[in-house]
Amino acid sequence: MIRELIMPQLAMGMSEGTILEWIVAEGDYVERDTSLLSIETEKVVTELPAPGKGYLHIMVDAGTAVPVENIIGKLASTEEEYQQLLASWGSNEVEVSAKTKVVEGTVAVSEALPSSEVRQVGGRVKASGLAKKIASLEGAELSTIVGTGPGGRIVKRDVLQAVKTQSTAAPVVVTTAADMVEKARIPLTGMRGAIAKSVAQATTEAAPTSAFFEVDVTKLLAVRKTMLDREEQLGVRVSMAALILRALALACQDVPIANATIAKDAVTVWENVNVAIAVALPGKDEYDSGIAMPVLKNVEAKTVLQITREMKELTLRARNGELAAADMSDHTIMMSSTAGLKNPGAWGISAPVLKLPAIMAFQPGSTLKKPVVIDGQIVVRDILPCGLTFDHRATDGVPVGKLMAKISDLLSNPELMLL
Amino acid sequence: MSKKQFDVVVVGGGPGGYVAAIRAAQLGIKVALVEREHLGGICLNWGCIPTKALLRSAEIFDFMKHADKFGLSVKGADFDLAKIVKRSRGVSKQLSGGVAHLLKKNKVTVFDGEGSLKTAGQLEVKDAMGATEIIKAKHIILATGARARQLPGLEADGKLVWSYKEALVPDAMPKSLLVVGSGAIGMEFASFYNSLGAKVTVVEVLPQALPVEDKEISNFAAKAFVKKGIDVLLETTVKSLSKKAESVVATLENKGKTNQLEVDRIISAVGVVPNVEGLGLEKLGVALDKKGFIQVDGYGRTSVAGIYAIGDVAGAPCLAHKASHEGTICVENIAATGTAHTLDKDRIPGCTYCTPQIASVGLTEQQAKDKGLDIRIGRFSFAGNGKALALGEAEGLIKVVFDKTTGELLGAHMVGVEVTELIQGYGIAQSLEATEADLMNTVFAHPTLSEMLHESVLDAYDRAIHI
Ligand SMILES: Cc1cc2nc3c(=O)[nH]c(=O)nc-3n(C[C@H](O)[C@H](O)[C@H](O)COP(=O)(O)OP(=O)(O)OC[C@H]3O[C@@H](n4cnc5c(N)ncnc54)[C@H](O)[C@@H]3O)c2cc1C
Repeated sequence: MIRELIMPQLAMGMSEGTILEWIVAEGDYVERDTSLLSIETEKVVTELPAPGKGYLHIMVDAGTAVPVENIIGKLASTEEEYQQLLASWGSNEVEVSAKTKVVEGTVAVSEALPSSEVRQVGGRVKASGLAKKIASLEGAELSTIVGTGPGGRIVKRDVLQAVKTQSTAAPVVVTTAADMVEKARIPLTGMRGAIAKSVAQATTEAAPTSAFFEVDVTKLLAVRKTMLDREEQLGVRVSMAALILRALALACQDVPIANATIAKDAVTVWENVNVAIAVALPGKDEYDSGIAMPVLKNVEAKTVLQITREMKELTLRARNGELAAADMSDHTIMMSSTAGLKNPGAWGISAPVLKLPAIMAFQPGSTLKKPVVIDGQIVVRDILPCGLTFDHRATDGVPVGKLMAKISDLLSNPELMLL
Repeated sequence: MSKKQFDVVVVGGGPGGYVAAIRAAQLGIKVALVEREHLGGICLNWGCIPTKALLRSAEIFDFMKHADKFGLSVKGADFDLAKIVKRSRGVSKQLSGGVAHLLKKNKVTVFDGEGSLKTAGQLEVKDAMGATEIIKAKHIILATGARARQLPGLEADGKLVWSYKEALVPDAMPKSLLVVGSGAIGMEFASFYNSLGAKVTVVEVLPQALPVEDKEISNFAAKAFVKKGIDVLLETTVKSLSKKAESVVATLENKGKTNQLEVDRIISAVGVVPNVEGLGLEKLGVALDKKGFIQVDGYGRTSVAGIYAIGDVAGAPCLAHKASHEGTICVENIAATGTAHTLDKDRIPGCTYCTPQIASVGLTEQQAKDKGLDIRIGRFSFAGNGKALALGEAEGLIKVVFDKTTGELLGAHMVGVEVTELIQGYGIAQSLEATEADLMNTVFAHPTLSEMLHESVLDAYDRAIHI
């Protein structure tokens, strides 16, 4: 049997991965689960294990970025099949017809026909009636699309995915004068590439609309102090971010549309509040920087202590580059705190960039003491500036206004979070 | 590997669990199944199957009552309730034995006992004698199903107020019956007892009978129920019960007005709650959703790595075929066969086997509109179908919902004889992503009820022949 090795889609929204290194050499025999290669995707480097035993045939060299679901190599069960594979591959015109499939967390495998039955491609494209119809409506070329349906058939989701990827890839050409001296070059691959794609998509595809507000967190800081005083007993230092996350999750219960994702044809409101949390990371070199977005799942069902612990753990893993694909998938809302950017040169507050497909991004800043008027008196209070961006395609001002009011209410009267 | 060490352990032997275990075995995975009561789960023992066996007796009895319509005469048509129940239990028993055989054939190790999680890789199994042992597996799949929901004040007492279990094994025919809840389970029992002569009243809190179905189909069915002599009271709740020796007086409330109804028995069919207790979920931090079902992703993965949930315990729709499909997807994903795709909930058919039958798949007209889709609707009445007339079953309707732009079959809804068999035609069409053109080009044999699948599609595009 000859299996195809395919660039797997490791997380929602991942469109390509870069092959960093082939750990196993061309033609070598491997056992099942031996690490074959390492790939760099979104924000992680992952080693992909062999789906079975056999002889490896490499088809895409290291350093190449490969769209998901594209073939990167093959695994032949017997030496004979491997030789046949080399022979047929040499002619470059033939392809092994296969059921192509994507599996999370492993090199995708497909059961190919034995190489004796190798046949020409370029003939009939296998696609469902609906896939054909949508492709013709959207002007997509079926022969360029990889099918994930039974028997490698192109189905609706493949066409929709292809249309989406095409519309986001727009190359920019830059010309440089002769006297320009290059200091460094940061390739738009891996983490940088993923960030570039994600933020560009969030501004071109979505209709981002932002609002800013301030919350009096004097009481909340007092509450947190009580918790910090018991740090030893609790075994953890309760973070401000955890308290804010708790409030955000509760506010989403009141304004469910805040916790939603958008697709081409519908907005889906979710029960689970899965918050993508922006974590700043160092970049490839001194000129680069990075962000990881681990997802804290089911925040609505978690206590402040749980949130604090899990956030700590996720952040740590993000910094160590140990995030797994599942840690970064299925977010329903995003939060990026700028509290860490406080000193020096205070970062006030900015409009957070959406993390699609979630339609809401929330940015708490860092608290500062400000004079405010209460009952006609000027008093000094702790004020938290907040920024928020929502995708206007999905919702409108009134619900978002409600959300802001709810967040303010919960953060300024933390006792409400006990309810 | 030791005898108590497996790759996959499945907890619960219903249609979710046993299918998952067999699929795992087929893939060469070392698998065990833990079941505390009966292989085949609710479906085979107390759900899908025994109800269908009872309904078949009722259907034949209906034929006998209406034999003269076909030029036949049946004298002294009568029934023996004990024998009807015995047949139903017999069918269940036969199938449950069949599951045991299939598991054995596939070399699935079966443990008789109650499972509870110790840690993410360990399950404690307690047998009927109270003895415990630990079995280990990297992947543990919870398929513990659900049980009848008990409304406060309307708890099943086994005598006057029945849950589905008692309703499946009546020892005498009640003269009058109140069914609370007009979902699939409620309507099936209403239909059975109505056919065998009980005066049946159904109360439904929502403004629509069979609330998950397309409104037009529900209304059609509700009229047929009334014609058969079933009273269907919508937007009505049971306020209180006052129990006598052999009857119950129920106080019903409709839009603020109350009235009383005395019946021999009450069947509470107000939905199910998941079996999540005693599984050790809390300790491990396995997250539940708002309704108390185990929260899972499209591959049955819970919030804790290595623990999965499928079937009724993992949330609606609580249907046997959904449970089985989730079992397959979950196992294939664990085995990384590359064939697992998350289940599209809009492609799960739902069937109700009352008379007339109801079947549907995909979006209702209203749901499609709510999604902002531009749609085309097609309808075909049984009265225009030759086979239906020959069968003497002219009462029925098929309705299809298409996406106007793409020709995608968004949903199909039916009421009438044998529609629970017809719905698969549209199920296959949806799964192959056929468009209206593919369906129109398909040749349907004549004379069949299936021809109506064709005609309703034609109707959606103003091309129906027999309207
Ligand atoms: C009256 C009635 C009619 C129905 N009719 C239909 C129908 O026509 N079509 C349809 O699709 N669906 C029908 N259903 C629903 C169907 O029965 C369920 O959807 C289906 O049984 C769910 O399968 P499951 O595997 O998830 O759980 P179940 O079938 O409930 O099986 C769960 C199993 O797990 C066992 N178990 C639970 N906890 C433990 C534990 N801790 N350790 C070991 N074992 C445990 C239980 O004993 C049980 O055998 C009907 C239900 C009822 C009640």
